[in-house]
Amino acid sequence: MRSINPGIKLATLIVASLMLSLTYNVAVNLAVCVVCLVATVATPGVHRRRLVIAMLPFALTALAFFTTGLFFGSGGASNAEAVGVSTSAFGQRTLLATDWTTAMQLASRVLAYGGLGMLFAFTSNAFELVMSLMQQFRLPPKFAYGILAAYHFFPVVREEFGTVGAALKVRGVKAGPFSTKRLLPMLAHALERSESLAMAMESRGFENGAPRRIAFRVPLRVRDAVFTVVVLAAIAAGLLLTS
Amino acid sequence: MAVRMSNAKVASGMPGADASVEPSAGVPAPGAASDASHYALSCRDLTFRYAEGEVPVFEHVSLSVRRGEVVLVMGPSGCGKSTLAYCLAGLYPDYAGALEGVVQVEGKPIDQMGPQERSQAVSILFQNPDNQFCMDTVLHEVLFALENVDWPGDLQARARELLSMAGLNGYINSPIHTLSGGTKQKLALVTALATGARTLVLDEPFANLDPLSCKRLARELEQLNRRGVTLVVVDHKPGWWLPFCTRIVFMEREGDLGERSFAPAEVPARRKEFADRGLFVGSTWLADVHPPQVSPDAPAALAADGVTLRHGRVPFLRGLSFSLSRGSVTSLVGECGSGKSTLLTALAGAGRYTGSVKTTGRVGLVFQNPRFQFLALTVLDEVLVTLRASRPEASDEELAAEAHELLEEFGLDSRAAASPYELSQGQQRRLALLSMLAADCEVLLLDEPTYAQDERSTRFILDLLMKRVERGLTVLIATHDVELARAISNRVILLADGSLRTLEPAELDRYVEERKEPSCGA
Repeated sequence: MRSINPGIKLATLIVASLMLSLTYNVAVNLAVCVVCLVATVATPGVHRRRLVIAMLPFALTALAFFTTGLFFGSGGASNAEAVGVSTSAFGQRTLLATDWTTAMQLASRVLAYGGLGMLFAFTSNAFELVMSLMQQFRLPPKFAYGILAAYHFFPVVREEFGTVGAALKVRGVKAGPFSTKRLLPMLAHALERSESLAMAMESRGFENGAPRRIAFRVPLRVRDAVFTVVVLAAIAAGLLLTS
Repeated sequence: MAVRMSNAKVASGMPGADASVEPSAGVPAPGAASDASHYALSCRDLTFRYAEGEVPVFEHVSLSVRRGEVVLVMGPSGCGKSTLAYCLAGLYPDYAGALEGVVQVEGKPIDQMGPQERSQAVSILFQNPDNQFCMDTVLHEVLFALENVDWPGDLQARARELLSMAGLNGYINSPIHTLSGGTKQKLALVTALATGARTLVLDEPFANLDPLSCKRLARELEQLNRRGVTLVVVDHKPGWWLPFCTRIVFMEREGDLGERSFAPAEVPARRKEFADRGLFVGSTWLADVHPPQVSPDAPAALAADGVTLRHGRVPFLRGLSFSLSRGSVTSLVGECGSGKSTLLTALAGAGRYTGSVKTTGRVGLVFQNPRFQFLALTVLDEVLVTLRASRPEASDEELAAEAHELLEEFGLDSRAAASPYELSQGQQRRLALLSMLAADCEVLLLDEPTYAQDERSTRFILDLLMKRVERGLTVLIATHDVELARAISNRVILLADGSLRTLEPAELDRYVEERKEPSCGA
């Protein structure tokens, strides 16, 4: 999974989730979720505990949707078949049928999104993604390196959050994590930092539009095309076959 | 050419006397220097304002730096040295202010060069090592610079070569945020060189470093200079630079700076000029800094017992026990990354630890970077935040009157309505100190209270502090300035390898000798 071009992977998974969002197919949703999670776990170097923790919000949301759908489905249990309008995409009925199906459709879709998201998040590297967006999707270097620089500042910002918290504490000022008392100094520092970062980039020779070498080629290979075709075809086939 | 000959008077002699010329080895003869292209960097008639219509930071300033020179620019805090450095590096006026006059790099006007071309001629090292990296790891950072300048050879090989030259092989894949300050500055130096810069502008590159890192970096820079790299250095402490700098320039508000420049050998004879400007020359100023009188039976204002600090689950400071006598000054020394700041934060009750810390009253903490201390939009409010928190029952008028009084004492009342971020570095430091002292602390912890300050502001801060110490304030100072630590403290404690111990006088002298700034002549 790691060797798939991250830009292509992202595009494929976005299209896949769009396909799923247009349809209500419990079996396909669940299959997508399971396949994605299995593929993620099978990728070497994936932190399993983190994966479980990251999946947790999706699982909880799915559970919430499930119970909501179960108890407050359209029409109620007595008139399960009373569906007014029926629309379809990929041969699928896209409106609610019964409470059970409502519940399962909503919940399974959340799980499918979760699976797709995990597959991407746990098997891709932010640096390679940005490089791939720049090399294959024509993202201008100005934005690409800007995004990377900002991304690399996360640890610093986290540290700074602690520092500002300490500053408040030693002054005897009480402030919650999102209080303006805390956010104002952080904003001031962020402005300063972005300026010094821009100056640093420029003084290291960064110039938008100037010819530049590429130290990291993110390759575009046959396997990327195969990945895209297989994933999308499998979902389309699943939707058509189980209708 | 208006720039010609302006730096020919490098030599010795009384100011104003017709000095004889003593070009240093490897520098083209001044007679040949009539063409701007002989200069690595030159500026003519520079006038800089932060905003149109404002009073200029400097006016009609000229300076020419020959290839291969090391020029040290000194001047009091807030005189515009750093601003000049940013102009010479081509960052201003693009990033701030309005500039009149010409800056030339190797004979070419800098405003006609794009960042790519410019960085191959001149690059800058910033004071704060944290804000100058764009990538995640050491190798990526160097590759980024090489990519930017379209380096024609093997990028990976070149990056590794540069890193091994600086002795950074061991850090190739390290995330940058895990490096110590000294290593970060070294990496910044490598990336600046990766662009192929022949001239480096250095804006107080040692401000955040421990003395051993300063020593190593200074050696590195000296070697670079021998290989032909021109250096323009802005710094408050001349000691590290005197052994290899070509000449010293005082930053003035206007005029030709080069005309009044002088060789390092003349420093001892020019002590008065340094003193008049409030600048450091060596450590003689410490002669009138003394530790406070503390009676042997003074009670402990702060007592720590078995304090352990952890990074995640791993303890990095273990079972620290010590006490600070009331009215005493204690210094905490140790290399960058030894945990001084973290310990101070914990002692101030703003960081996690296990063990016990008992104090007789409030504990205040002044951060290394005063800007982190600020919570309000004006200087006055900054003081009021503290006063209000410590005395919620007092009326606003009462507090405002007291705030003004305190600002007066700290020389800040004229800036009461200004934003804390607009103040000069020295003023910011005083405000940070005041914002803590206003709360009537019993114990005050200070993290690097004197870094990046000229002598005058350093004295001002220390005087304010020592006045409070006389009234019973107990002080713990974390500092890299080992000579100051020795002069001002009743006790110096060393934090190394996760534990603390008091340095005995003989040991302290040895410790200071190994680390002190080189002397600036008798």
